[in-house]
Amino acid sequence: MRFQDTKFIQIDAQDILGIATAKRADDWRFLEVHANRPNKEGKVEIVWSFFDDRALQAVAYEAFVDPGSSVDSLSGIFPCAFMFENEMHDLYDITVRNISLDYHGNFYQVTCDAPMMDRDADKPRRTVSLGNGGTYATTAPDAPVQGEARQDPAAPAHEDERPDAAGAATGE
Amino acid sequence: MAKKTLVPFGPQHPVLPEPVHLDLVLEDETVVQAVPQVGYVHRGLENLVDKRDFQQFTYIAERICGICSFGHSMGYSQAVENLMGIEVPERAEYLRVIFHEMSRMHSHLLWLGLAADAFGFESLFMHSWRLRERLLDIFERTTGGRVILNFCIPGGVVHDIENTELEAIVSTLRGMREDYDQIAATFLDDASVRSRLSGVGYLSKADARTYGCVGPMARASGWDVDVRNNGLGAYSALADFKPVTSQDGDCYARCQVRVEEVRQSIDIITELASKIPDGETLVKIKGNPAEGAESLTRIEQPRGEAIYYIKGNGTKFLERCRVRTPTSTNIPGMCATLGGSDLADVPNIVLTIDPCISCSER
Amino acid sequence: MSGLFKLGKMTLQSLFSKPATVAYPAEPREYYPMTRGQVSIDIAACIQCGTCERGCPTGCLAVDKANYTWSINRYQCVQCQHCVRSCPVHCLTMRHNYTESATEKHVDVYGLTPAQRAVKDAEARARAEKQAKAREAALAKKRAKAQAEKGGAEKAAGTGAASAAKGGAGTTAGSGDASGGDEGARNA
Repeated sequence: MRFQDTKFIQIDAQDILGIATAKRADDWRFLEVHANRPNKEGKVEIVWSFFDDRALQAVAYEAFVDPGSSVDSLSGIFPCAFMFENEMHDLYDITVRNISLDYHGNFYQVTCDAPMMDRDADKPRRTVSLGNGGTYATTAPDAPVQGEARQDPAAPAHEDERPDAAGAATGE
Repeated sequence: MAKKTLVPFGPQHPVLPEPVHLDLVLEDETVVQAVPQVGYVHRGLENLVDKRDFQQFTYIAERICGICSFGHSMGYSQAVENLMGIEVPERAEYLRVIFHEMSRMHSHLLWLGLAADAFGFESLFMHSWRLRERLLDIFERTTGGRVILNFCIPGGVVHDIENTELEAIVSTLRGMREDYDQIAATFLDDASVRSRLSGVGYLSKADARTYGCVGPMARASGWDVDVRNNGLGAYSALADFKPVTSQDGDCYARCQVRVEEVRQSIDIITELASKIPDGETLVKIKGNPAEGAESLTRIEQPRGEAIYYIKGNGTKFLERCRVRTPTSTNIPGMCATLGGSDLADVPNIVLTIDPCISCSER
Repeated sequence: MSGLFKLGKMTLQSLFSKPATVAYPAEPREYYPMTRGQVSIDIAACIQCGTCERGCPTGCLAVDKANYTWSINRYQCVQCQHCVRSCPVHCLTMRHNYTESATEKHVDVYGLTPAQRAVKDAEARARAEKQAKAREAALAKKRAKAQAEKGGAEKAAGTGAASAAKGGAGTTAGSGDASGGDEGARNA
């Protein structure tokens, strides 16, 4: 076969736990879960994919959900799912219930909520600081926005103070 | 009553090629639990789909990672071809697989060097990387770059590699083999290497299936999961392909699998170079991906199975490009193997999944 | 000794052979013909079409059509060679050596000498004049055709029986000729 034909099947988001349990019982493999940016109707599409090693067939289940809604976690059935579900929560603001290892939004230290959702929007940024005794603390979303990038401390602060290469006096 | 301490591992650590942080909960010297923290190299590359059109995105896909760079360009190209129904010429398929196997060799040699460095065998590290230089020279001679090749684009490969050049590649690899056999013998038979790797970080086959591990990590536990089993592209031309597996499931087995895979790659390249057909190497792509079209393709990266999901929206920009890399799936398995191991073995275990964090975070 | 010092042969070899590294910068680095170092342009051959600028994945190229310049920010260039491949007149080539280090980032602008620019300006003017002439000729031809049809309609109206006139008026109605007159109004 020249092409890899994956089957894409539309489902309801609440059915995914049943489907995943059936796949686990059938000895399928979990590939990944991810979310897509809102489509024209404003719905976020979540795609779960599984693979059958015997038939060499990949199947992807797609569900449209409203932004900010919540879905069930597959990490109870497929433990490796927690990585993708935390990422989905951080980048697309999809709440996932009962993840086995839940980072509560600190999986990626992104400076604004759901950065992939509306990519052109100018969202307020917050500072992210690691350290503070090993906690990944982020300040509140409505904290004042930090200014531009840190300056090189050795560079002159103001343009007039920069040494003139030609040595010419100002005003010439 | 054992005292529990929390030791942070990473993100800067001499064994790690890329930054990952682990919070290790220790009872005396034994690791009880490991909590990973990634995100140090998250660049949000998937966001660039609406700033670069689907053909320019090949260059971005290549630069997701430096070690598995060719694999990403090949996987992305295959996904776009799947999406738009483009048939790539046969010669291009063969060339892609030849370069992909060379990329696998260079990645495994890099890993072997890092593994040797992890348990302190610096000279073995240098010898492995010296051998790897010959592969990088081949890459530079044929495509112009040492790690980022810019060779595979949707539609085929950028330019043809003459059959004489392919013969030169095969003879270089054959010349490498003797030196490589010495390095391999050291990895597999040396007493000091064995004492550091044997019995360390055991992962049973059942656990590998539960945690969904892929690549050499799963194959070392006896589970022959390999995308090349599918027989897609030029892999279907191989007379016989069996994934390299081992039954032991410990760090030594994972090392063994990778050592053997380098030899298997040399054999694959030699076989394909002799069977390669003549013909074109690039078809021009006309038009844009259709609206609502989706495709999900898989390839076998050096670290395991990587998945490319692409969705079109009728314009020259893609709606979504998602790359799932093998390290993301292997990290939970790695954290499971860390449970019960000694603190001194943690660097070895972390390294045996071949962590490519910049791939897993994009 | 079977389990120890497996690397003996290789170690001895590397003790007595020349080093695997290059004593750079004392020894110059040998590049391959295909090595992708930096992009260079033959600016006289450039037609300022902008294909390279549009295709560049990093957006480091800028083409100024009015001033016949081509500029590149070498510090953004990732040496992907897309511009070299897509240039329709093949004025871009890839040099082997890397961009030289500098203490601050700058943009390299390549332009023409005043003499070359004068030549290009003259060519552009000649092209523009030719286009204007062609447009005028086409317009004149169209006007002449319209006049001929108008003349034909008047003649038909002057001679004819009603049906012939109607048919004639019908053919001129499409051209919107107001002198189609009463027949045109009745038909409309």
